[in-house]
Amino acid sequence: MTGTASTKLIGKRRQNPILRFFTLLYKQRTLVALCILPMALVFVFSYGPMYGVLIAFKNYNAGKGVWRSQWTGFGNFQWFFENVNSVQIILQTLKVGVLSLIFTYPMPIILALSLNEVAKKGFKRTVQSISYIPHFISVVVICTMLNEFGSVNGLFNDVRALFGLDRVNMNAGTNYFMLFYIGSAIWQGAGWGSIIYLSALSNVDTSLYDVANIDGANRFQKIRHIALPAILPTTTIVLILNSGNILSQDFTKILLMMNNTNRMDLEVISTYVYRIGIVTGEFDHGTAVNLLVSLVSLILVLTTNRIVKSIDPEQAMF
Amino acid sequence: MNKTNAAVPKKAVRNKIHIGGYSFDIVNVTFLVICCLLVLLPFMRVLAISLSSSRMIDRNMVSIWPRELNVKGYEIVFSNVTIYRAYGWTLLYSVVYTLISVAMTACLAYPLSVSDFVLKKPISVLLLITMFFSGGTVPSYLLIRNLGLKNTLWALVLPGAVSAWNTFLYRAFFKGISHEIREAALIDGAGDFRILVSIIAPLSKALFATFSLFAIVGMWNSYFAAMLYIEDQSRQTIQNILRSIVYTSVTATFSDASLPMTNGAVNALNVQYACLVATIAPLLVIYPFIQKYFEQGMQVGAVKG
Amino acid sequence: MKKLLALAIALLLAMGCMSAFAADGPIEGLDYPDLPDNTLKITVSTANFGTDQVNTKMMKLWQEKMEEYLGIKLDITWTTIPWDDFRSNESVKLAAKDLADVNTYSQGDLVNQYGAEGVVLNLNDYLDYMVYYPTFVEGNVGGWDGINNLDGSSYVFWDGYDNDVNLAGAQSFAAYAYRFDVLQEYGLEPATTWEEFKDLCADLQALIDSGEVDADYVLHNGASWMAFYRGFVGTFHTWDTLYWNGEEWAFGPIEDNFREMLTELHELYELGYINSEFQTDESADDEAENARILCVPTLWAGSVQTWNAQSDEDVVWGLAYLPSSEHGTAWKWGSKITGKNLGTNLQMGIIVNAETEYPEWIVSMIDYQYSPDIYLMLNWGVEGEDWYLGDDGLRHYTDKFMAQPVSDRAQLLADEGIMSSASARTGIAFVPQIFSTIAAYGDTEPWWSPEKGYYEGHYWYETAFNGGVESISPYDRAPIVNVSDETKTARAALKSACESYAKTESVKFITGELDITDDAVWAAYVEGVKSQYKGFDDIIAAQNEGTDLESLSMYHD
Repeated sequence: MTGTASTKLIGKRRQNPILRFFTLLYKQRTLVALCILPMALVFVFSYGPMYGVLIAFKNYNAGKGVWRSQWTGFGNFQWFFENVNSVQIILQTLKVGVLSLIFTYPMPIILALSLNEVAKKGFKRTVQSISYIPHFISVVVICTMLNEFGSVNGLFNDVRALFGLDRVNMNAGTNYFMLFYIGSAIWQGAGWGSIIYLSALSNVDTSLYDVANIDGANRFQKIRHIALPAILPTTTIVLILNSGNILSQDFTKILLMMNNTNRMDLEVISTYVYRIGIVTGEFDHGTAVNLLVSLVSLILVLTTNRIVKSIDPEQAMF
Repeated sequence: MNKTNAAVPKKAVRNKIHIGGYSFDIVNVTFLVICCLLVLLPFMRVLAISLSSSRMIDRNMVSIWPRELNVKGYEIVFSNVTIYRAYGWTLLYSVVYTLISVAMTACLAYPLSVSDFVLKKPISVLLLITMFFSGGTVPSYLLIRNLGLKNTLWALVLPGAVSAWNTFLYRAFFKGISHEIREAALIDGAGDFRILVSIIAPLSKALFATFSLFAIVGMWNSYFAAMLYIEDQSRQTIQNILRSIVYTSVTATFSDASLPMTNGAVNALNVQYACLVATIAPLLVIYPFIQKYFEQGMQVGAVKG
Repeated sequence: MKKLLALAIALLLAMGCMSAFAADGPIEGLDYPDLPDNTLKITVSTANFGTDQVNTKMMKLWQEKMEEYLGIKLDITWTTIPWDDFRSNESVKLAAKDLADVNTYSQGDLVNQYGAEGVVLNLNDYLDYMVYYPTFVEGNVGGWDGINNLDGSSYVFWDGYDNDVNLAGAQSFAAYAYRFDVLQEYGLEPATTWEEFKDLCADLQALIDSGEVDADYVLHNGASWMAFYRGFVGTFHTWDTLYWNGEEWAFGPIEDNFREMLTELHELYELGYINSEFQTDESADDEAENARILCVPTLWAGSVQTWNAQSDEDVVWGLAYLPSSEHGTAWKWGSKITGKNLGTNLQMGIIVNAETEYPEWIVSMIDYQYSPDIYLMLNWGVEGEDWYLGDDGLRHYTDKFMAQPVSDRAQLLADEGIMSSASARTGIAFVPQIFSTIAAYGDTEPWWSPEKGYYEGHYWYETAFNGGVESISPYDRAPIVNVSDETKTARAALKSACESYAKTESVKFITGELDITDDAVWAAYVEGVKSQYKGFDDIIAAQNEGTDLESLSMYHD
């Protein structure tokens, strides 16, 4: 495509790289102009407060503000590992994060592929619409529902009773937490998450199906050779990005699912940071922990991307 | 015109698919029906409980049909006048946020989808960093306050308008369509701005519809930012208002105790579930209208090629 | 002539200067800064507790009274934020130094950090501008020593109350709720001792088992967010956090008494008396109203009135004082000290922005909220219209409220902005409360005592009468403690971390997931509690070292 234009440019005369950069910049000024407004928003609202990461290395003093607060080096990081049950919190975070990724990631893809195979448009549309509804519910309500459904007389126990199982208090302790946490995430997110994939599937060239039919391919073969490749770029990006979320769980949901029977056992990094920031005002300790999480998440994403790249360089994000 | 043309070959294709595997279809449809039931059952339970009497709820007599009809939960929710104003404001927040977010993200994602764009790498890196690093609550709060955005709609709309995640997804989508089209248009003498507005945008209706829906629902359900930045209770969002309705009968707020107490002949669950219905009902009403465009977009996408 | 003119001008100038630098304020002999237009223009950020107080009748009266006292006009921009939201945002605003001129505050000792950092005004620099707040401080244990920091600073106008009936009443964890209808029908009585309580539970369980009484469980928790054991700690003379046990400061959940209590609770649980959802059921109120349970040991006493109002005619909930044990009369928690007071638990109050322009005026303004002129008015309303002086010499609410059903009265009072409703905190929260006003508009509830049998009473009075002086817990009459700001902060963090751990683990002891009889398991639990905060033992030692035993002589009830 425009590659031809640039090679022509280089072919003309060997420019010094800076000059070449500005020539190209001028050539692509419309593209640059398009970026200006959105990047301004990014700079103001994402980079504007970024100096706040310095708090991680300071003893934050509200009167002096971020810049004039005293440096403490790695004191805040040390504090987290010395004064807190950090090992248990980290292990719990990893457990919740990894299991969530494993179980929630494939669901929207399966649903999208399955929907894509439905020929009746009315049915497809109905299923789609129904599958989105749970996404409209806020996390506060989801947790109210979980608490009610998991109680001894709740819906889940009604189902257990149908299968001849004892009624148990599923809200107490930690036995059912993972099931509830991941199950509700799938329930809420699978239909909604499938939109992206359906959108990608809608772009599949229908003539590919004609060719496949002539070749006598069966349904699974068609899914494997036409549908899957079509959504592969999207699935890859979602996977890469999701891998960065392993350490950062939905803290409101976990906070709301906690009760006096399991509060300490369910603590993860995000709830911990919320608790010490909002409840006890230790923003410096919280920022330090957050910074650690950010670094690890970045490493995770880069690693996933590297793995993807080594398998298929086309699919990597960067 | 496009549509009628498209309908003919498509049907033929689908017919052939059918010959291939009825048993596959049966399994597939059964799977989807089960999924739907799994989604709907909890909702029926919620509706049933919101409409049942407190006595029946606590005797565990309510399964998925209301028993001893009781609309007190809804009375409590809808007798609160602030709720109507909150609907209005939340709608405004959602619409403005959606427009800005979709327009800004598209403007940014399009240049990034051009493979030899000079600033592609630096901008991608800058965006990527924002996905992982943030200044934290206090500096963000200071920024909003110092810009004078507290108590305005911009405090809710602008900070999340351009997200790295969405930009990357838009870019992936644009990459799929802009390849040859852009080259052809450039040869025809069209500028990039015109390509984006009159070629790419119409082809991306499905994308825009999808992300509009994301944005609307995201804003509709957000309460954390509104709680922090909107102090003027008359401009508060629906989620926050409903939250306070649930806790509104908090009494006995003496210095050593703050104890919730339910109010009226109503079960706490009546109110909570009535609130749930009150929040999602408007979305369910809006949804079919968006879905229409959504479907059109999907068709346009399907016809292409 | 010239000389005269010069003199006149000089005099005029001097007068001008004097009036410019020294306006007349409410307190004689004190200089107040001059205000433009004689108007104090400030912002106030306060919380609303269910009813927005800003446009109520009482709020207008508050402003009138305040302007009359200060002798200036008040131009106040009010921001009222629902209490839950207010608390969630408070830390962020403090850390961002984004305060209104005057703010409601709720985080106890944490303020010292912000005070030292120059965000919050040190009130002790303006002691001269206070008249009424000191009467509350002096009524408090330790007086000024009790509220001042070691460096002599003090940053909060603490939330006060006037215990005008001089009764040491309590509201929570001071009585058990029983189904009086069931007890009376089967000739039973509420328990006065722990042994009796266990027998009673057995009797009630038998009634459920035989199908004579339609209920699911004998015992349940009043609300899931309360630790169930809070209803029992009094009987076994312990508490759920760091507390003064009469001899020293100790962490309740690792005391032997606490273990004894858990052993007993485990036994009750094993026998099937306790609803297995005692810590997770979010609609416990509804279970009580719908007669699914027979006894609620852990509750806010006021719940009983609601339950009776919401339930069928034949379901009657009533209260009886906590059963005693071999440790003696059960302790009740949160019993009020008599007279004007700030209480022992300094947690909430009002703070002033350190950068406010006219601190002198603001301090005098907040101080006036502690005068009977303001707080009597806001607690009772307007004489004649809202209350009248009865023949008994006591104040009574008028028929405007009393002719209405009990369940509606609180809301009617709140709509006027009268503070006894508890959902309207008029003025700048917190204006001192008068607890007896609750009893004045509230209904009575059924009570039982060994002396009087079944009778009607109000928990505010009955919890004071029934336990007697021995029932006042030592913690509610604790000595003052002088420790550094760092220790105070550490202490707060310790409490929060170790309490949460103890709560989670004690549920496991009650349900039998952990074996309460196993010494090794108990030792591991104690270690677990201590490991939640580094330096656990040091902080408790520092707390004991800083204790001023002489301050105990301040109490006289």
